[in-house]
Amino acid sequence: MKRREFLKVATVAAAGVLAAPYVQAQSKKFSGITLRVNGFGGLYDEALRKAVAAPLEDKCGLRIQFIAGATSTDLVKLIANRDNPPFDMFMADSPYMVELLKAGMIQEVGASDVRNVQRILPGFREFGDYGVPFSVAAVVPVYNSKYIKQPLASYSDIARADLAGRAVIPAPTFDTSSLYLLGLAEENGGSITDMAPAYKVMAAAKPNIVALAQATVAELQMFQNEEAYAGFFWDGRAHELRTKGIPIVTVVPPQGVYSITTYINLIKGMKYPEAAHAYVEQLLSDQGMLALPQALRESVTTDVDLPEELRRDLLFNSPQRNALKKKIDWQVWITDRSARIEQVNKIIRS
Amino acid sequence: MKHSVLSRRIVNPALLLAPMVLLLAGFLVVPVLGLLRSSFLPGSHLLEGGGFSLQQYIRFFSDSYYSSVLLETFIDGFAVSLICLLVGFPVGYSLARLPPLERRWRTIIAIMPLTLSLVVIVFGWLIVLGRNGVVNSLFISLGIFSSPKQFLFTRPAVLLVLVQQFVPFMILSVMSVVTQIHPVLEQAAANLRANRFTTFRRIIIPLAVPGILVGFNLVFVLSISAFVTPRLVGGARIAMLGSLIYERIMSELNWPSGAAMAFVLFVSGFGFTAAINALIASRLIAGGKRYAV
Repeated sequence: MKRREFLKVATVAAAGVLAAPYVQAQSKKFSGITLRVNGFGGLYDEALRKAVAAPLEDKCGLRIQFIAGATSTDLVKLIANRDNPPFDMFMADSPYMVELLKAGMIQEVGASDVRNVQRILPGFREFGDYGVPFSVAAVVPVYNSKYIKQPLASYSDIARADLAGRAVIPAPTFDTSSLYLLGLAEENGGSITDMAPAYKVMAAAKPNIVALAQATVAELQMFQNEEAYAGFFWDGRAHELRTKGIPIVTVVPPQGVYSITTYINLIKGMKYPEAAHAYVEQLLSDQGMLALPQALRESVTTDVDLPEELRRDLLFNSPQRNALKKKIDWQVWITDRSARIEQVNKIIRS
Repeated sequence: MKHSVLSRRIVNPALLLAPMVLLLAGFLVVPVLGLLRSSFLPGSHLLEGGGFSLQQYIRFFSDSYYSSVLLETFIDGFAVSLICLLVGFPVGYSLARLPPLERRWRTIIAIMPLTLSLVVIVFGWLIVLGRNGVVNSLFISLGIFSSPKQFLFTRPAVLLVLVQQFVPFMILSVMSVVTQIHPVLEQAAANLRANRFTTFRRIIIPLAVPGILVGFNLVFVLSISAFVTPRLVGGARIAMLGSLIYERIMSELNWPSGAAMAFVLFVSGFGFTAAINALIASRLIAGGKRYAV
C-alpha cells in the first residue's frame, strides 16, 4: 500500500473509531436515565414492563423502575415529599387525579409534547391537558348464566326478585368500585347530586345482597365459589372469571356505563421531561396500548386497531360502546363519599 | 440494716414498674387522650382546625341506627362470651386437673389457634363454610340437605368464628384459677355426701369465679371490638361497631366521628363489664354471708 493510500484509510478508520461512541450515544438517547413510576403490582406492571419499558430501553436506553404499592399510600408519599418526590411519573385512577390536581403536583402534557396524545379518543381525557389516559375499567352488572336464566340488562336489575340472596356488590367504601350507585341513580331519574333513587333501589335490592365485598379479590372468590350468582363487578375481572371456566356474563347497560380511567402523569419539576414524554409516547403507541387489554382485558383509550380476539372481550370496543361511557364529576363524587357509605350501610346493615 | 432492706423494698417495686408505666403512658395513654381530643372536634376531618364540640356524640346518639349497632355489638359480644364460657370451662377445668406434663402439651394444643394469623383463620373458615365447603358437602352427603345452604355472611357464622378465635382466652383464665383450687376441697365435699353436681355448683364455680370473670371480660372486650371477622365472614352485612369505626377512619378519613364512636364503645364496654363484675361479686358476697350464717 502506498503511503498516500495508507493515510487515507487510516484517517477514515480513525474517524470511524472516534465517531462510534457518539453514534451509539445518539441512538441510546436516554442512556443512564432511570424514571421511577409508582406501580400497581402483579400482571399490571408486568404488562407495562414488557410492552412499554423494555422496548424503550432497547430503543433509547431509558430505564423504567416500577415501584409497586397502594396508590393511596403512594399519593400521600408524593404529596408529603413534594420537594424531593419519590416518583418521576405517577399512575393514578380518575378519583386520585382530583387529589393530584388539588395538590398541584402534576404538569400538563399536550400533543406538542407527545405526538400520540392526538390519538386519544374523544371524551377519554377528563382533566383537560392534565394526565394522559391509557386504560379504562368499568363497573358493570354481571351474572352467572348457569344459574341466572333471565339475563340482567341494567344496573337496576340488581333488585330483581329472582336474585334473592344471590347478589354481591362492592362495598361503598371505594370511590371507584362504588360507581354502580351512580348507575342506579341515573337509571332511575337521579343524578350525582341526587342519589336518592339509587338508595331506593338499594333498599329494594337488600334481600338479594348477600355480601358487600371488601376487595376485588374477595368478590372474585365469591363468584368463583358460587357464593353469589350476580352483582356488580369490574369488566376485566369478569373476563378473568370466564377464563377460569365460570360462565360470567358482562352486561352493557344501554343507558350508560360508569368507568374509571387510569392516567400517567409527569410530576412537576421532574428532571427528565423529555424522557418521560418518550415513555408516554410508547405507552400510547399500538404496542403499548395493547399491553393491558392483552393482560387484563382493560379497555383502550386511543384509536388503536384491536385484534378481533381482543375486541370481543373488551367493553369499550367500538364508537357505539365508547359513546356509552358516562362523564363523571369526580370532584362531586369524592366529596359525597361519606354520605354514600353511611347511607348504604344503613340500608344494608339495618 | 433493717432500715436499708425496708427502703430497698419500697424503692424496688417502683423501679420495676417504671418501664411498663412509661411504655403505657407514652404509647397508650397519650394516643388515647389524643383520640379523645379529636372526638370533640367539629367537622369531619382531623386537619380542619381546632374547636370543641359535642357534635360527633350528638350525631351518634341521635341516630337510631348507631344505637342499634351498639346494642347488636353488645348482644353479639355477650353471646360469644357465654358460648366461650360453656365451651371453655370444661376444657380449662380438665386441663387444670391433669398432671403437669400432660397439661403442658394439651395447653399448647388448646392455645394453638392464637399462634395463627387471624386472616389465615378467617380464610380457612370461608372455605369450610362456603357453598362448596366441608360443612355443606358433609350435610349433603349425609342427606340432611338436598342443596348447599348459605352459612357464610350470616350472624351465626360470625359468632362461630369469634368463639373459635377467643375460646383459648377463656380456657387459660379458667385453668389458671382451677389449678389453685385444691382437689382436697372436692374430696371433702364428697365426704359430706355432696354429689358431683352439688360440688361443682357450690365449690368449684364460686372458687373459679375470678377466672371466669377474667375470661368473660377478655372475650367480651375482644368480641365487641372485632372488625376483621365481621367484615370478612359477615360479608359486611353484619353490623358491629368495630367495623363501622374502621370504615369511618380508614375509608372516610373521618377521625372525629370514628374517635367518638371508639370512645362510646370504650366507655360502654367498660361500664358493662364493670357492672357484670360488680353484680357477680355482690352475689358471691351475699352467698358467702348466707353460708357463714
